[in-house]
Formats: sequence, C-alpha cells, structure tokens
Amino acid sequence: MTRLELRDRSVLITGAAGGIGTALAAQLVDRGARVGLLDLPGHGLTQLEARLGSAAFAVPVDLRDRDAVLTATDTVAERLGPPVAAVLGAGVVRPDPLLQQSEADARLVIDVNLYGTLWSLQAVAPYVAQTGGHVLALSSVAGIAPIPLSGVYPATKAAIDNMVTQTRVEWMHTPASAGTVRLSFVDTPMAQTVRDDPRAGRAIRRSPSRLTRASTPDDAARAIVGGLERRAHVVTVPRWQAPAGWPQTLAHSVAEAIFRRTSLRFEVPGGRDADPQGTELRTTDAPTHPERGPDR
Amino acid sequence: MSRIDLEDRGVLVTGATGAVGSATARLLVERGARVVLMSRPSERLDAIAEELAPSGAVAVAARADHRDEVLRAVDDGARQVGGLVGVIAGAGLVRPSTIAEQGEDDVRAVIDTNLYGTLWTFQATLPHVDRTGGHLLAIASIAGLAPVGLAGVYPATKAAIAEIVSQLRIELMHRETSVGAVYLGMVSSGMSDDIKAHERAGPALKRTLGGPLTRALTAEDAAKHIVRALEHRTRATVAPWWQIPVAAPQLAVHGLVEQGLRLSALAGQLPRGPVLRSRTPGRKSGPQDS
Repeated sequence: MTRLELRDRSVLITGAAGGIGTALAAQLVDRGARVGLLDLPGHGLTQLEARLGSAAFAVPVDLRDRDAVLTATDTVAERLGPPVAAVLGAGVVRPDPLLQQSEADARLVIDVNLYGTLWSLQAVAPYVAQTGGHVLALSSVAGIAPIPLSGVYPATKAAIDNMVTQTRVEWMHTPASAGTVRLSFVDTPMAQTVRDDPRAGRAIRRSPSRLTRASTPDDAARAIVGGLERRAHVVTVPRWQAPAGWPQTLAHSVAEAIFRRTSLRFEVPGGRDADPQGTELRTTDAPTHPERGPDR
Repeated sequence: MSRIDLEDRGVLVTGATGAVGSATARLLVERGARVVLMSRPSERLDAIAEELAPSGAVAVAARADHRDEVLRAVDDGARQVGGLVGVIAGAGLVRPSTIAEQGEDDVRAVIDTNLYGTLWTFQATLPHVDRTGGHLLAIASIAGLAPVGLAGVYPATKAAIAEIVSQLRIELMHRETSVGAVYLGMVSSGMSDDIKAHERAGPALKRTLGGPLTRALTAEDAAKHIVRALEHRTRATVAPWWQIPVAAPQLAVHGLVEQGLRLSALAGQLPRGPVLRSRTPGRKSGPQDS
C-alpha cells in the first residue's frame, strides 16, 4: 500500500487533550494536516484548539457515549473533510491489584479504554473506508504481557490490540488499514498517576531505571505520525521493547494470512464481489455508517 | 504445588446452563465435587439444578455483570457447600459481526458477560479460594490469542481474559491460590450454533476446508480438559491440541514476563495476606462464614 499523505488532509485524534494527544496534534499541524480534536470538555481542549489555530477543530465529547462519538466524528468530517487518518488515544489507568480494584474504577477504565476506542473506531470506519486511510489505536506494552498492580488496564489494552488485528482482517477488501501503537512509559499525566500510587511507584523506583525510563510525548507523537504515514500495523515506543510483542504479532499475522485465504474472505464487507459462487448474494456492501441506538 | 482433590470439595461453575458449563458440572459431580451452579436466573438453571441436586449440587442465580449479585450469589453458594477449592469462570457469549459494524447492544452484552462476568466472579471468589489455597480457572479462547474475523468483540474480550489470568498469576505469587486458563477452539454448543446460524459467519465456517480447521470439540471433551486443568492447576491448556502453535508464542511471552516480574522489585509490593474485597457502598466486605 502507498504511503499516506497527511498534508491538507483531516486527521481525527481522540484523547487529544492528553499528553500524547497534545504533542501529536501539534506535530500533525506542523506537517500541514487539519486535526479534529476529541476529548472531554475542559480547559486543556479549548487551549489546544486556540494554540493550533485554524488547522484545528475541537469537539468536546464523552468518548464513553457511542451516539455522542458518532455525532462528534461526523461534525469533524463536515468541518475539516473526511478523516484520512485517526489516532484513537483516549485512555486512563487506575493502579490496583486486579482483584481489589473497585467497581467504579474498573468500569471507568473499561469504559474509556475499551468502549471509547471501539466507539471511535466505529465512528471513523466509514470515513477511512472512503478515503483509504489508516487508523492507529493506542495500545500498550502492558497489553502484550501484563504489568501487575495496574488494575484492569492491561486487559483493556490486550483487547484493543486484538480488536485492531481483527479489524484489519475485516477490512481486507477496503482501502482502509489499521494498526496499534504499543507504548511503554511516556511522560504524561497518565503515567504520573502510576508513579503516584504508593505500591506501583515504589516498585518503579526500585527497578532498574533503564527499564522504566519514560519516553517524551514528542517522541511518542513522532513515532505515531511515522506509523500513520507508512500505515504501520505495529508501532512500539520505545523501539527496544518491540521484541516483547513479536511473538504476538507473529501469531496475529499468521491468523490474518490464514483468514485472507479461507472463505471468510467472501463474507467480510466487500467480499461477496470477490466470490465466484456469490453472484446471487452479491450486494453493494460498502461499509455503512453505524446505526444509532434506539438501544437501551 | 499440590494436585487438587475434588472429592467432597466445593467448586463453583459460572455459565452452568451452557453446553460446556453443564457438561463440566456433570463431570465434577462424577468426581465427587460439591458443585455450585451459577448463571443468570432461568428455567435451564432450575433444570440442571434439579438434575444434579441428588449429587449435592446447589444453584445460585446472578447476572454475571452485576457485581453485587455475583458477590451475594458466590457467598451464598460457598456457604452451602462449605467453602470453595475451585472456580470455573465459564460464562460466555458471542454475537457475530464485524468490529466496525457491531451494534451497541450486542457489544455491551458480550463485554458484560465475558469480561465483567469473569472479573466479578474472580473478585467474588478469591477470598473463598484463598482459604483453601485452591485454583481459579478462566475459560478463555484461542480467538483471544489470534483474533477471528466476524466474531464481533468476542475475541477482544477473550484477549482481555488471557491478560487478566497472566496478571493474576503474578499478583497472587506469594499465595497458595493458583490461576489458569483453558483456551478453547470451537466447541459444539449453543454458542457455536449462534455462529453457524449467522448470515455471514455461518457460510464462512461451512466453506472453510470442511475438515479439521472448523471441526468442533464436543462439550464433553471440553469439560474433560477443564476438569483436568482444575485438578492439576494447569496454567494453560489449549484444546484442540493442533491449535497449540497459534497459542504458544503469546503464552510463552506471558510465561517469560511472569518469571521476570517475579524476580523484580514489583514482587516486594504484591499483597501477601488474604485479600479483602474493595467495598461497595452499603455492603459488608469479605466472605461470610459458614
């Protein structure tokens, strides 16, 4: 696939007011992209939008609310053009031993990390299918192999990594692609909540600093921009931690390659057009805009 | 670590009304275990409870995603059978779809049952299992290690469960209680019927080689793997065996990182004593004594 051109194109960022989101938005604007910024309403978001000028457009939204995310994404697409790329970055962590984590904390982390990422992936899917774009979801090295005392956070990141590979399989007939960014410690307010936790903080301070040294948000953002441009399936920050993810990437790639050859390929969106036996079933099934809930 | 003797010991099975759950419960009863059958309230739960009651099984009803209900039901069941030496978190649900197109209701139903169900079950049962130094067993899936197209968010929830199991093994390292998972491929059950009936996933499955790739395990075979995994405190069981190459790379990484973290400074920060539950307002924490 060709390199993704970001200049004069629109890019959606969720969790835009966070440490990585802020750095990423600035770098994308530097490259000439227009950025749609999604995050909770607040000072950080308005300030970021003001700082980036006319190339940025912020929509305050609670990413846990599916209908609100769909609407916010449509608003960005109307204002800046259909996104050619998206970085799904909203995430929170609540340090705790997993089985002692309170219900409120567990639900918050699952709501923001898992639902928030899924709803924004669903919202942007029709646009990247149209533009032939690339989606990167922020996962974590902790999603490859769990870090104790970080509550349900590693589980949500493992789910995201899995979801992205599955999405790539399901998009095989579309020009859109997807990947994950496996981050280790990045110097952000989120990482600070881990360092501030008495137990997790002590464990980090007593570990070799080489292992726990944080990347800067700018480093992470640079890696993400590069990942968008070359449509990376996996980006790891810092790079030396990438080998931890190789076995999983290998297993995912093998599964992906198998599914591209089985008859599953005729059943994913767009697949019936490629199916020699599928004439009577043939439908125009370009990815559609998700239905909004009459639900619940 | 010692092998678990099931004779006359309490074992809790969630998802007990499903094909795999009920086959597992029957096999446990045959081994002499005192089984607590847990699922959402339904006629099927009443039916299996009636079938296995003569062998000492009891039924407790709870919706898997309601933490309070799960805590109450687990305490109640544990009291009735005199403590728990094993837990099989088997409640699971699949709704075939692509990730990008799955509707909100289906997404929430699958995450509620699979992810929250497993999490709350383990939170509720740990204090009981800690007393006997028993085993927590999750029913995971090979789809959680390498995702399957058209399975909706099901593979993602199973990836989360694999991660939870690995994390718990580290967090419980100072205790006798052990944790494991059984990674299943397709099993003949209500769940596989749902997939076969789906307009897209069904044909994809039917036309895939026809042979070994999609052949389902019987629920009875799956139950045998599950009970053996409980008895031997197996950290990971993959069934059918020929899918081991898909599962092995990631399981190996989990194992390596676990070993590394056991030797790291983190080990000193992990709880040594019995764990108290986090409090839910208006409810006493800790298991009730029998």
